[in-house]
Amino acid sequence: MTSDWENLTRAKHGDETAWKDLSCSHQKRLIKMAMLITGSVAAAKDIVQETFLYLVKSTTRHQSGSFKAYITTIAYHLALKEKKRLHSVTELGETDLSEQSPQPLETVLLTERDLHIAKTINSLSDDHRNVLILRFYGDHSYEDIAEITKQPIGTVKSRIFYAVKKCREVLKQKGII
Amino acid sequence: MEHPTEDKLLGLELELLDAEEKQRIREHIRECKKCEMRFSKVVADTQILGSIDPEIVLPIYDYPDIDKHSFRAILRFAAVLLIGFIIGYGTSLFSRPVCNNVVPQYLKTKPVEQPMFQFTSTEVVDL
Repeated sequence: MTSDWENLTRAKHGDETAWKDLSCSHQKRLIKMAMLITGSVAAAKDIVQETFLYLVKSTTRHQSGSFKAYITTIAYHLALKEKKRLHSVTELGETDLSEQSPQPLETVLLTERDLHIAKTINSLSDDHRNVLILRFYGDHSYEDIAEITKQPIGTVKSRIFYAVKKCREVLKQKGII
Repeated sequence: MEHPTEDKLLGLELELLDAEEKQRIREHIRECKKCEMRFSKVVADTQILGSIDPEIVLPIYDYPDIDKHSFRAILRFAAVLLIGFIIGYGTSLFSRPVCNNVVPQYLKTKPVEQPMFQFTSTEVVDL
């Protein structure tokens, strides 16, 4: 089986099959993660597209370590940047421009339970939420999360513990669990 | 052994405990039905947090036209160079320093009519 690093090298040299393999195997996970960070589906799709473009166009010869962590790092930082931009747009009172506003998260959450969970995760502070999203939706180890967020592993572990504990309390109060 | 706290059970589920503590609590859970149930509840609650399943239509990302992009980048670079050259050349035309034409003037020295050596030292003093 071809590794992701090999697929990336081939995609950089014009192999469209390698490009498809690469995008198919990471797309869904990255979209979910970016969607929960930004709160927008449309923005998440754009972020993932931008991530793949960056990967193929970049000239770095970084080929060691976890490819999953590498690609997530790119998507994660793009998502944070987009979240900041969306937040500043909201603060300027431009939310009424419905044509320009991206598809909100609520439109793709079909069950009330999912909506409650998403809201609970969203109620956490940025640091706690991001770590939780990377763990549960990015499917990363604590070592990977520490590398992605550039935080010490101890901080990552304490944040994930607090985030899960807090979410359990809120979901219990809401009667979801 | 005492029953582990809720935080310890959560720590076990999140793989945050050290090996020794982890083994101790696991052994306790195997023997204690009540704690086994408590732990199952913690596991189920935790898994719920990662269970959001949105209805997303996955987009198909077309393969980017890398050559076209790099060609554009080269063109852009060439255009920047050309514009820079034109601006530099134009600036040099307008701000050309005025040349001070210096006409060299040579001093014409008179030929010595009476060389000094024709006088004696005493005569020079007299003069």
